[in-house]
Amino acid sequence: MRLAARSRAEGGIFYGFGFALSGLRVFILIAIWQTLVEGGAEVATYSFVALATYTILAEVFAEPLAARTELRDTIWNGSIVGRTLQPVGLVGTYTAEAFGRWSLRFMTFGPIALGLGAATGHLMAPRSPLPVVLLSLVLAVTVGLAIEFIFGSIIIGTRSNVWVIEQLRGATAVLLSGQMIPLALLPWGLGDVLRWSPFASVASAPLTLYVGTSAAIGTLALQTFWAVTLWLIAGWAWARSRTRLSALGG
Amino acid sequence: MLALWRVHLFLDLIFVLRSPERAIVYIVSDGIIASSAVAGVVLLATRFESIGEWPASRILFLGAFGVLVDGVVASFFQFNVAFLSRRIGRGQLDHSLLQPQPLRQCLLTEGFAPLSGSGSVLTGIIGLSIAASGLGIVITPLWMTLLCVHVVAATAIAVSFSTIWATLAFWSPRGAEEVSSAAFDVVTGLKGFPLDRVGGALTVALLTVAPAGFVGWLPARVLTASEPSVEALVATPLAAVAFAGIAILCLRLGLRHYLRTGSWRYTDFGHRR
Repeated sequence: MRLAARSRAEGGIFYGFGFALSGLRVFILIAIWQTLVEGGAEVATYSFVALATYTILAEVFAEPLAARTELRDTIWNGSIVGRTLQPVGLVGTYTAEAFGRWSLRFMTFGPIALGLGAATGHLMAPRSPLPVVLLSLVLAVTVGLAIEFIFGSIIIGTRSNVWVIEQLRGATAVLLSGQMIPLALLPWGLGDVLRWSPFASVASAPLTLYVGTSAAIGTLALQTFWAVTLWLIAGWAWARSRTRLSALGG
Repeated sequence: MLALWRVHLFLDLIFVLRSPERAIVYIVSDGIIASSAVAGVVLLATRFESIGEWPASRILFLGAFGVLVDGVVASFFQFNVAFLSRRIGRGQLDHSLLQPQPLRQCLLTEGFAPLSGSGSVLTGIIGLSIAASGLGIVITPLWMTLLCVHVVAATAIAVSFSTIWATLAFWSPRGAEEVSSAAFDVVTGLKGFPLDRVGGALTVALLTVAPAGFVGWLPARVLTASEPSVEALVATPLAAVAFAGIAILCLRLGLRHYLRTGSWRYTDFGHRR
């Protein structure tokens, strides 16, 4: 974890851009929420502060909620082959590395965003017990990592273009998971359908629990269901695809 | 230039014909990825009918404009021409410098891939057509000219901003190898948002140091306004000239430095060793 965090910190300038993008997105979304709530106390069960809190937390926890590891890069550059030869579990290696990478954003962007949010009154206290929110966050990362390995298996098994699959996943997941826009704010009842999807268990679940717009027992039960189911699928898919793993390097 | 574009069009055609199924998947995926980036705000506006003074159709216009700009970048500046820091950082700029043609001609033609980049272009055009119809915009030759000018200007701003940062790779080839894509993300990642209520200082920032406002918001405001002011009409094209000028200046400074240091690609610590 420490190695991954340090290697990421070396790219300081990219971090600057990443933080700038996240910070600007928070400001712009909060301005949009302000516009929507104008004249009304709530919008789709969300108060203005709840929406602002949702947005700030979504950006602070963006990386754990997206649950990306180095899997795609190592498939692309072939170094996954070397990792399969190491006497440690692949899931453990990738997860530990990911936690190291995520920790940097959490320790740098996190305090600034949370501090500014609290100081300006845009961050509310959790509306569900904190242990429940933290448990939901752990389950969210568990589901997210299962999805990561299922997509890794698809890339290896179908020998598809890594970047096309990854970009497709990234682009659609942000929308389907409710990471940027709370699902309850989507039109045509889309949110009512999407909240049952595994993507919603990754981002929407802990965020809605924090701001108090979802019920704890139902949300945790759904997350647990997806965590168990998807890890069973991930194990099966990985076992089937690993024999098709090949790499060209140089 | 036209002859070189023809050559690159032929090469792009070969890419498509070599595996049409794969090319179709790539093009369709490109359209989905580009539209997903702006879909959130469009859906939000659809649910609430408007966001401030932006009705849903106008928000769709804003998003579609950004998608079209993405498509034009993908069609004219493929193969890391839009992300020049990768070429500089990896020592691949030498491949262009070796050719018997000016570097500017090389950079303006090498990335031409209109077929494989067509996914976002088509998605953007479809989105703009639906939005224009919803807004009751009368399509006249003058309006089409304005649209083309603004698309070209927005593209120039996005690519110039990426190139300005890319020149850092002349001084720090490895450290700044990915800086272009990070800079590009800042500009295009915010293209689908209406920026009217973000506040004066932030609006200025989004039109100068991180010119995302020129890649969607300001052109969409001008093109959907019934009687835009002259200042608003010329703002994006003038900004494009300014950003392109700064990019050229930075590129010249970087190349002057590069004349002394050269590429590290084939040294013991280079990209290919």
